[in-house]
Amino acid sequence: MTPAGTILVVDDDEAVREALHSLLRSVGFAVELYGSVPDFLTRGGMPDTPCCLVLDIRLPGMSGLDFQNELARQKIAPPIIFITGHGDIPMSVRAMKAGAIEFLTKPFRDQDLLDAIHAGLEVDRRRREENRDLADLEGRYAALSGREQEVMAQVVTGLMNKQIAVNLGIAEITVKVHRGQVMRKMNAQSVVDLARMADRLGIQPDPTQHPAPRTARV
Amino acid sequence: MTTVRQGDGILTSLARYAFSALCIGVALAFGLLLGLGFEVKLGPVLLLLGVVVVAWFSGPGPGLLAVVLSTLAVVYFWTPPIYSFAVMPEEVPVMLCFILCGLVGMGISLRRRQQERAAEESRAVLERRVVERTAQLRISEERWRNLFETTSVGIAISEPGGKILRANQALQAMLGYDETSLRLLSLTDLMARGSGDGGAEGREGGIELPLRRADGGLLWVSLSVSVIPPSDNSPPLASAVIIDISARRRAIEEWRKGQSEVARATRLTTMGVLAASIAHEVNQPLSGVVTNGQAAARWLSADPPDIAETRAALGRIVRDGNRAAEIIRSIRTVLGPAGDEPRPVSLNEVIRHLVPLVESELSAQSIRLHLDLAVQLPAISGDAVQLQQLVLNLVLNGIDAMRGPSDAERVLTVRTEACAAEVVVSVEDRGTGLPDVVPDRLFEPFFTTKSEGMGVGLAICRTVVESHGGRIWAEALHPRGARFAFALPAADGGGTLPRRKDSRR
Repeated sequence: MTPAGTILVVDDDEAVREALHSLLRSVGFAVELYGSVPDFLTRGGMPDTPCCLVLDIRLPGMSGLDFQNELARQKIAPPIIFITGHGDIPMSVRAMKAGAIEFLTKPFRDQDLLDAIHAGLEVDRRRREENRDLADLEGRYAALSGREQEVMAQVVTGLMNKQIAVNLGIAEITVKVHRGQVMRKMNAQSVVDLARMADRLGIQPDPTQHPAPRTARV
Repeated sequence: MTTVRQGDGILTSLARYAFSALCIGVALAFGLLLGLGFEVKLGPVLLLLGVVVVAWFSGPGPGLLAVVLSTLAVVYFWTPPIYSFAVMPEEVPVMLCFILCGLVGMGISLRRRQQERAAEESRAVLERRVVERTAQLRISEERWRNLFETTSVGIAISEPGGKILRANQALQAMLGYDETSLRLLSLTDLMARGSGDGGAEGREGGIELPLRRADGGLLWVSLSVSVIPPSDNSPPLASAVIIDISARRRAIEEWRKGQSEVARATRLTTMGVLAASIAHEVNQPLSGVVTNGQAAARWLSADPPDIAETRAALGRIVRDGNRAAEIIRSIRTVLGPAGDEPRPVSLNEVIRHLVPLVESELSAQSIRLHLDLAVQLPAISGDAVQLQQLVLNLVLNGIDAMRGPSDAERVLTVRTEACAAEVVVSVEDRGTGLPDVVPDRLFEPFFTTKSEGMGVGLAICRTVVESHGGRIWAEALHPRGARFAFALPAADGGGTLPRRKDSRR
């Protein structure tokens, strides 16, 4: 088993850091060790490869939980596994609610940590893929012309070409051309596919140009 | 005299003048009676006698009246022409002579009478005074006797050598002897010499020592002896005032016990606060041991087994295990029972032993601990556990003061210095400084500036310091922070403890 990924360990205790280093290397992980959050931010930072944070709760400077919140605020959400010497239930609830993968109390079973790390790396890999897809999608959307984006916004709400033409004040044939361009440029297989893309991109139907009531269509 | 009889009124005055007239009348009558049978003129002599008598008894006014009356009588009866108030010119000198004799007689009589009266009066005053003084003395004597006998304080009057002459009832009751048997003893016989309860203790206003009671028991008293200097009719004496202080000693004893109870309770509270920190502190190396063990197992089961990595992991296991053991040792020192006997304590050692207990707290607050310990520090005499509590409280206090974000450098300095015959320990923080109150108030019980504080920490510190004969104070530092310091007297001779090698790092 040679899992790809970097494990970032942040713990103020050297004994714990060294032990984790040895344990994680023995199963083939790349490991980076940090003594505190500021140490991590100045010396390391988030790598571009799939990674997993192993965070001590009690840290000098900034606690593990505060760091988790800070990362969430910056919309960076690496998987976090908390390890703590004296965790209580409210603390673990807070950590898990904020999206932690696992909350382990020292000393922990090595397999529990490794399982959590595998799960974390898997989550990170998936997240990175999704992010990559989203970035791709956003690139394609950005390639659309202004009119094409307008047409796409109308199409995904389920309007027919004729209605779109009326709404936008252009000819129906022009709408048809734009629509074809949108489908091609966005690499959409169907209108349903396009609608899902719009959903991921967060495109809202323009509320000022409200579509005809659905009942009229039925 | 008129001055004496002033209040008697006109009647008395009239009576005196009447008495004057009566006397002269009687003298005249006798003079005439006697004058009938004799050639000698006794009448004027008797009249002069009458004047003297009147002056003696009735004073100058009636005396003058008597002179006038007797002159008239002499003129009438004894100077020719007899039975007429007419006076022959050749008889005038005789008459003037008679008047002069009358006046002189009256004057002498008055003067003598006056002297007599004065003597009488002063005698009366003297007598009255003697009576009064005697009564006063009796009252005073009674009062002193009552005081002596009924006071709750034991009093013994003794010879300078200590032999008891008098002992009051309170003393008899205190010691269980009656006065007769006490008189056979001396004060030194009563002192319980060599008793196991320790000897006399000098105190302000007397010494405190145990006395032997009649039943053999001991009674703690405060004894003050004063010398009564010799007087004309009494040899020098000593008076001993003996106060039963057993109740007070018991109260002090109980107060001390209470103090140590409080100290113990606070110790437990402090330990409670520290427990989490300690748990963390021990748990760190323990989890290191566990994880290293698991890592070692994995390195061994690799194909081929990685012996070097395994050995390194095992080495770390040994190291972490030792670290855990040492923390446990430190805790045991702190938690250990308080010693009764003061022992020589090195405050440097006390402080070094504290470090492992606060390390995680320091690290969690990103505080650097700076130890500035004097190389040659005299030992002090006391209870190591209490002293450790004391320093621990001050260190935790300093950490608390620096809690929360701040731009200041986060350093906690613990310093020891030898100053004259004292050892001074100070704990300096760069925290929020001191509240705006009299610094001494900080050490009062239940004074606190912390929301979760009980305000006993510093009060206990003061109790510990004072029970070691020292003092504690606080001062604000500029621009920020505070210094808490205490000074304890160096142990006898100010000698240093044999220095041990610092066991940590």
